[in-house]
Amino acid sequence: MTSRFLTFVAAVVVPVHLALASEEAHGHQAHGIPWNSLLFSAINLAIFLWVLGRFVMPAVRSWVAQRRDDVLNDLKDAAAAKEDALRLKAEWEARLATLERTTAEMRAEAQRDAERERDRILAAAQAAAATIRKDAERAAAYEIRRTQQLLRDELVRQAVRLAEDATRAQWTAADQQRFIVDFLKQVEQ
Amino acid sequence: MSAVARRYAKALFALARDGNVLQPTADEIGRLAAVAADATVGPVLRSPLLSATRRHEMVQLLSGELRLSDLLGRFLQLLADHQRLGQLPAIAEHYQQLLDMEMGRVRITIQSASPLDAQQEAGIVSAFEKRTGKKVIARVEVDTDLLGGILVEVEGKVYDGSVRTQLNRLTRELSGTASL
Repeated sequence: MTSRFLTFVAAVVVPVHLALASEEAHGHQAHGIPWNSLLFSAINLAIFLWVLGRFVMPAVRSWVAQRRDDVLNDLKDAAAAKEDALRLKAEWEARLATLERTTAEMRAEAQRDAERERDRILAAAQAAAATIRKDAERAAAYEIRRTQQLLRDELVRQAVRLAEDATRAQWTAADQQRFIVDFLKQVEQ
Repeated sequence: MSAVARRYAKALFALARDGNVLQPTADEIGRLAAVAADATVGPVLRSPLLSATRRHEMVQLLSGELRLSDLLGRFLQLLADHQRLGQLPAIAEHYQQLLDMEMGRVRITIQSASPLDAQQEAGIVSAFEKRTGKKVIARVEVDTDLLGGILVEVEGKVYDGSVRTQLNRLTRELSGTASL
């Protein structure tokens, strides 16, 4: 493309330029319309327009078409974003509308859970208290019985000791004889 | 009492009966047993470290000192040979039992809180002779811990008529009425 363009410029512009140079060299004395100059300008303009149409305009048209597509896409995206925003807005408005009811339900559920937990803890505490009370009663009863037994043992021990002392002090030969007689009766039986 | 001691006692008893020296042999072996039970002599007789020679010398010494009969002398020699001198007290005890059975008598131990007079002892002996149907040989011990009454042991059986036992029984009954 470039080489063709340079060949065209060389074929058209160089002869014209040479012709103009020759005319300037011979015709400075002539007066009237400068046809050569006019022709040259026209040709330059034509070349310019042709170059413009051939090489610049397609790129410009392509850029414009691309730009138009971009704008259209941006518009579509903006429309979609707007739709999403509207949908979210509607959704949140709906949520906000039910927020109080949801909050109230959650509060009520939390209160019911707390009451259930309170009841459970109370029941467990009551059961533990009953067990502790029963154990304490059992331990107290055992202690009472043990103390009674200790007291009884001590009383018996003291009574026996007194009986021993009394026997040692008051035991007579007659008592011994009576014991032996009773003993022999039992042996003979 | 070991089976070994019983076997030796039976053998000695048979020999003594054959020689018609049951009671003298009982007296001799009783003296021997008393010596063997002595705290000084006993360990020496039982010692496994004593040589056979030393054992024989000791037996000869004992026989001479205690003026043992020929039967007892030989019996002691036999025990020394078999290293059974330590069994002497048990052999003597069983011999005495065999002799008592042979003679139709039984030995009793009377424990009394206070000394018994002859009439009381005779009454107790008489009662147990009736009960056992044998002649009773009594040994009396005084044990003040009984507080009062008596306790009689006959052939491993105890007849208890002491105040101490009655008080112990009373203690158990009173303490046991509401035991835990």
